[in-house]
Amino acid sequence: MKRAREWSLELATDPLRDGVELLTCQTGEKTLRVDGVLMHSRYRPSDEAVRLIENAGIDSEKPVIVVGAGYGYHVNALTGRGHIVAVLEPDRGVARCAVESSLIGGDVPLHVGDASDLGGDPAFREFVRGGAQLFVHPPTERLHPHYVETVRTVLARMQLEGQPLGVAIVGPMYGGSLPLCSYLARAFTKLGHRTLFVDNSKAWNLYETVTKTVQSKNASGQLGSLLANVLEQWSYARVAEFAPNLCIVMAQAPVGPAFPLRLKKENIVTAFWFVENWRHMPYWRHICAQYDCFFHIQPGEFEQKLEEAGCGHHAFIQTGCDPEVHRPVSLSADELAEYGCDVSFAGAGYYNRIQFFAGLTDYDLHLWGTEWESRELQGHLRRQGERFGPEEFAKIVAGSKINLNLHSSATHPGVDPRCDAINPRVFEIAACGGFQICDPCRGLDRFFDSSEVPTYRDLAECRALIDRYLANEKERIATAKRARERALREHTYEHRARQMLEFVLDRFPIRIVDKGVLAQRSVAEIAARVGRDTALGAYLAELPPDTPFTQAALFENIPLMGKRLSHAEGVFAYLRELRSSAEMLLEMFDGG
Amino acid sequence: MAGKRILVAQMTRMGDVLQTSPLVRALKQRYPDSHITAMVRRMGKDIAERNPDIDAVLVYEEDETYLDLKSEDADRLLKAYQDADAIVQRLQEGRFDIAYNCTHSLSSAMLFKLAGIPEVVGAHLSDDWRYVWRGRGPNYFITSVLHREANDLNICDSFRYFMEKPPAARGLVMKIDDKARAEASTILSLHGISAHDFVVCFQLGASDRGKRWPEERFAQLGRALADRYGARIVLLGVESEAKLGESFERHAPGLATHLFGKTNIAQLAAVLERARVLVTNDTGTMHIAAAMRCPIVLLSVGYVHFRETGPYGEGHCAIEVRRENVGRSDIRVDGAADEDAGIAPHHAARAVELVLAQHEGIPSLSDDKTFSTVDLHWSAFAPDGCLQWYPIVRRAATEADVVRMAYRLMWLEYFEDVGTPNAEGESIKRIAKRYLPPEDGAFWGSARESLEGLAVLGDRGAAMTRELLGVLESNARMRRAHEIVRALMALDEDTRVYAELNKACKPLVAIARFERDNLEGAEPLALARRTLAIYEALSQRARATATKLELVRAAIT
Repeated sequence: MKRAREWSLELATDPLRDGVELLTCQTGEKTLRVDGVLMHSRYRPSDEAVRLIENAGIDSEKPVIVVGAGYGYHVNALTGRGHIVAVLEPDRGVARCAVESSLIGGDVPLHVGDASDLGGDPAFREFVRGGAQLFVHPPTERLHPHYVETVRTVLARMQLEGQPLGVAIVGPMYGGSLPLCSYLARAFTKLGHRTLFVDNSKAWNLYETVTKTVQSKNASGQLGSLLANVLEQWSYARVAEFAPNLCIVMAQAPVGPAFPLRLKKENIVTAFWFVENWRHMPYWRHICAQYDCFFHIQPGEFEQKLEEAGCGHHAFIQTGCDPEVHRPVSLSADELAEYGCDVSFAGAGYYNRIQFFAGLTDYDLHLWGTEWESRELQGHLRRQGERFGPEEFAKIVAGSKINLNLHSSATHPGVDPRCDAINPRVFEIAACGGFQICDPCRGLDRFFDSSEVPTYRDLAECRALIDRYLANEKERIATAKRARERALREHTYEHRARQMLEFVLDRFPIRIVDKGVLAQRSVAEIAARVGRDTALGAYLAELPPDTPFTQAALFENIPLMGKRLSHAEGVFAYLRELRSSAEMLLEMFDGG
Repeated sequence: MAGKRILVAQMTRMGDVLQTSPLVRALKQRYPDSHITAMVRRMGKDIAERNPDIDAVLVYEEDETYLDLKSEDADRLLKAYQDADAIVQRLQEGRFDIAYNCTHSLSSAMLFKLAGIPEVVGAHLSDDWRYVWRGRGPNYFITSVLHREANDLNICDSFRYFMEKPPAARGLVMKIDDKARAEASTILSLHGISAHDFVVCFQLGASDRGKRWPEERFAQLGRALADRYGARIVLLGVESEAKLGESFERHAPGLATHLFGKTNIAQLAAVLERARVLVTNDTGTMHIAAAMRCPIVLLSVGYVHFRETGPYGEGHCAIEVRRENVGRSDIRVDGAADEDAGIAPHHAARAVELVLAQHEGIPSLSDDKTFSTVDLHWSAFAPDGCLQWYPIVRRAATEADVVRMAYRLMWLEYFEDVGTPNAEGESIKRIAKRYLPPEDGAFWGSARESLEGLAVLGDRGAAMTRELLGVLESNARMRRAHEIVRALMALDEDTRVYAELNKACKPLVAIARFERDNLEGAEPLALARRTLAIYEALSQRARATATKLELVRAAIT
């Protein structure tokens, strides 16, 4: 941006392009017609501009970014009311006429041309920081809708910089994606966002009871669907009440394709995190286009498939580790006796794992987890194939000299050469400080190199690695250390959460701004801001300093009617009453 | 009150601001040197600024504060606090001696409490922050909604009675300048309407679908008026009502000029000033028309109660479907559902003819089958100084009619402002002659008896309260005091049930209960004295209503 008077020199040499016409009104005033669209009324352009501004609901205290210079009448009306303005104009021809009209003051900052680089303009950033509001000149929007959209997007992105958002995560009842929900929720919270985890696993026991105690498969299926439908409604109600900016639905969550459409009506950006193998779980086809964003763990071929299915915004976002859960632990002597081994694997007994691990039974091998029904492996199975939780997983890793990782396959007998869905175990073992060897799943080298996670392509290579690292403790420890450092540096769920937000903020900033971003503060912060010598500051200073500055926390301390109140208490009581009475009226109105 | 600073708060809708203008006029007449500030929402600002009796306008907008609160954002909560604090500060800076709170919300009462305004009439907070209503007029205003069938006073007169013994104010107050008139002329001329054209305005909208006359009927009426008077039909309303205009257009293509969202308040007023008549549902536009002295035909459909909210001024006509429970806010009837049995375009056309004729007195129509499905009423100020709606078709009075008339006389006496007995007598005579005697007069006796029975219950309450006072003053026998209080509570319950069984008594019991609920303070002796006054007033009002009933009976029969 530069001053209008500077532009007038630069634009004066521009020829007036075809389609830009100066017209004379009945009042003798000039007006402009651009590509057949009148920039102002032909009757009384200055009066009309005053009315336009009067009815625009512009906050008199804040500066105004005017999109569209027109012939400058509306800019003149704004400056006449004492507003500080900056003007953005896409068309050099219009800009030239506007600055020549002398309706735009010489000191007014003006930007002419493409708006996509505005975010990098220091003068514009400074203007926005002053709390600027947008005024779009309607004829300009008619001529240049994309330009206006770009300005709105740039502005929204700037407004959202560093702002905490509201994020809801809807989890499944059961399955591998369930623990990821709490990891991701914790990550968003750590990043300063307001977070809600809708935990559908609370209904798992009920679901099991309802579906497993009825013999008829048909009846059982119908009952299961009914319960899933109830959970979908519950999830919607929780999310809608929480009113987040972004709702992430995890794979296997009990919600249908209509769920994101309902949330979109609330201006909530919706995302699905498909932490599954698309080749094994084809349901992605029916849902990927319903969500605003579709996150997945398999780059390449799948992305092409998503495009074909009409999914406009998709991104490869890998799983990761949660350092609060996936961390090195020390084992007691008893624990060491239980968990200590040369080689272990913790996870489900998929077909290829059963086949593959049968070739390792001559090692001190421990297998943990469910579905290991093979007779050859029973002697290696710990705890009779019970499930294990994250804490126990950390102990398994700590007790194993070598942690095996092998990506699952229901069809291939050993290492699946087509595998491109990296499992979370890679990151979790690394973050727990364990040494692991892994099959070379495609894309793994983007996350760990062989000095951090050595890989094997077949049983022979696997055995060679085991032998090598069992014999070399120092190398094992050094490799595990490098892997852990890399995991913490690049592969935590905080990194994944940031990736998700960057993607969403880049594509949907206007919706997020329209929905509103919530600031969260403590009473101590607010007291410091307003000063303790004010009635509010003095009142807040008496509350525990970490009390959240929220209505729920503050109103709780305000007595109901029938007691004399201090000034600050009185104002809060007034606000409480204002909100509750307005909501009562709205409810009556809704109820017809 | 000379030189005093007065605040009149009306923070509801635009029409309500206009309906408060008679109170403001009465205040200005009584206290010409006073400085009057109107506190209104943004939508009422234009109206308030065009009232010459108002010296300053304070704009209060709670919608933004509500949105700030709803956001659950800490910074916006702080902003909401600061905005509320700023309003309190502005009220304090106004140094008001008295506030008339015509907004019945608790939140408005809280603001005035926080601002420390020494005297508040209407909704306010007691010293111990209880929500109470002060003043006879406000008490009547707030309880009248509980028994609308017995309410005969326009809301403008109710507001006027917020002050003691108010001067009459015959109409709404709003002024426009020549600039607005010129702009209105330009707007009309752009649509080919000249100064000589016969302009008829329609307002198709209403705040609720249930209060709207169907657009198809409006279209039929428009065609009839165009045929008969060569009328140019102008459709008024805000932009969001344009879809009603589209519906009208489907039924009468090209007939009307659509001005939805094309005028500001002053231009709208100027268009109405220029119009020969406005045909309307119950809307803010109607009140602007009334202020501009534009004759109005009000289509009182659905749950509209035209006596209470109809146009405040003379020479307007309200049409209402004849049916039981008409105008009761607790029974919602869809305006469209009235179509078959209800108001037809030819009824409205006849009403237009009446208001155009500008009668000196109240017009009369014979009770033939043309009007068998509707009642038509004519507005005029009664000798008692308040607006009255007079039947145009003379029909037999119903029990509801005579009870309403008796109550009007009683309330005005209650306000201690009936003027002279002649005014009361003249008023009752004038309304009574618009009715035929009731077809079944049995209710006269039962209504009188029930009112007398209520007076006896009031007497009993007064006697028990006197005993309670004696016990409290002697500062002894607290057990006895508790027994009396319990007995009084039982009596109140008996009285409530009695009122349920005897509907002529219901409004009186409602107001007595309201007064009990509004007792301020906690000091037992003071409370007992005020309770005694309430029981005594109940008895007096019940006997007064019975007496007024006799006056009505004499006038009608």
